[in-house]
Amino acid sequence: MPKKSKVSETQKEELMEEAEIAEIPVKNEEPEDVKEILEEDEDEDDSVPKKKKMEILDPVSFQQDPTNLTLILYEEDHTIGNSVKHLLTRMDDVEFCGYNVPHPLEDKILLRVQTKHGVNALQVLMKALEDLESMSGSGSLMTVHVGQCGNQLAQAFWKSMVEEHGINE
Amino acid sequence: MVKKSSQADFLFPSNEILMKEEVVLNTYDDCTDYVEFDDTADYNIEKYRDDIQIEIINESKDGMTLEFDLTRVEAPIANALRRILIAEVPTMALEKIYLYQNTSVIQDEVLCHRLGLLPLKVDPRQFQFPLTKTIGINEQGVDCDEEPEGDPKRNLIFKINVTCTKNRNAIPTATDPKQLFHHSSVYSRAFEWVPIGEEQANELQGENKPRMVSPDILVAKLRPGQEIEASCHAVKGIGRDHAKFSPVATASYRLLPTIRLHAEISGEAAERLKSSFSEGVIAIEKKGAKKIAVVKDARKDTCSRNVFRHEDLAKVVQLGRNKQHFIFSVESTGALRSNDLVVEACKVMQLKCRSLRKQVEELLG
Repeated sequence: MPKKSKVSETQKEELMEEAEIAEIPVKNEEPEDVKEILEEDEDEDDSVPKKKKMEILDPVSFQQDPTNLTLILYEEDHTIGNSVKHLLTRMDDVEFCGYNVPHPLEDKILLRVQTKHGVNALQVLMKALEDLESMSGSGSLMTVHVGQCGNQLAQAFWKSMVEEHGINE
Repeated sequence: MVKKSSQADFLFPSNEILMKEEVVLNTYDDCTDYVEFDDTADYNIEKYRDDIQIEIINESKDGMTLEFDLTRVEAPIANALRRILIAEVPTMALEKIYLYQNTSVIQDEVLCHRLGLLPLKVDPRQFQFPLTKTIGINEQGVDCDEEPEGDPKRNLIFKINVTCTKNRNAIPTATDPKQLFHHSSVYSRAFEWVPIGEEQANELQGENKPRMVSPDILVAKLRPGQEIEASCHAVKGIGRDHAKFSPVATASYRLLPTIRLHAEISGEAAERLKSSFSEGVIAIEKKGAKKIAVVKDARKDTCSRNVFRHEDLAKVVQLGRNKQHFIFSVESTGALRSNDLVVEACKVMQLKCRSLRKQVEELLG
């Protein structure tokens, strides 16, 4: 689906800069097949299960061309796949995006993001995740308020709950 | 009588699904999911986010069932919320059953599976997830030799010990097992919570005391001499792992139906129109000497499309569903109230995004 880019010149420059910084020079080493990153969130809330791995499919070609990204998300499904895709389609820098579940018995999804020239796909994905978080949650700036329902969906929900019951906030 | 309006082709709003007799038109499968997608407008998450509205429609007295409207979002977001409610909001459930005695006719594994499905009335937010996902087994294929003590932050222990005996005072003519025997049926009320350490006992008192959601769930049937003795360890888990951890009986949404009458329908036709919809959808009002049909409450429509069976009515009635208006219905199994579940679901989504973002950050280096 063709989309008109509405990014202003200054924004574009910023994005280009970001993309350049993120572009890591290709090493002349043996190419690693997959780049694995294990998450350890010791400082995170203990009630959250420790899990998740994420890797870039064919990281070498991603390093050469950071506008084409296929990400493997383990232990994720349509919940994240579809909602992230939904936000990504709306973004100006995105040329194409989609997700798929390779096999129902494998607990993983593939997320494909293609961006316009000079824009790092990972950074766009980052923005989409931020937006999704701010939609359902408080966003990174308000992490302090977690547990106090300082978030959009939940806040709207509570507001109407409060009105319903005639309680003062 | 059906009086047609002059318009031959009726305009249809783009934010609605159009329901025809055999097909559904104007669905999501266009170039984009977004309703009224404006190619030239800037992507503005703040505006999009602030437009989202939630309105509580109905809540049961005990707070276990809830109906609310989620508007101005698209299906992927609404569906994510629904999926999280079903599969990713944690609850406590019996996971390890240490059977000391089971002489009933119900097999050990079947009994244990049944016990796992019993809903527990415990706030899962007071607990942590188990440290290991699956407990390994030794060479003999046994995963433990002795019952572990249990972690007060991660486990709950329920004990059950029921033996069926003959009722000596039963009248000789009685045939009902309930009169003939004691404990012929084992109900969920037979479970007794045993606190792990004093701390847990102090923490979970009064209202918070762990128990079964319902005391009347039939677990097994016994006959004299048969016995069930077990110690059951509950853990925190999510529905994705096993359905017994799912906090909801149902969490579903439907789109708000719309009904448009493009003509004045009166008399016998009005009665027919009324009867082809669910109760309360169409009302008949007096207009001068005539009785005309009006749409009273489209929300009650079940979208049966029965009206299209009447040829004259089919021409003037347009049925649709608002694509951005989700009528959610959440039924809790009892551990948490439905409104808490929705808030919890939002938090789960938030945490998911945060942890994914962290990983993307690491990939970016």
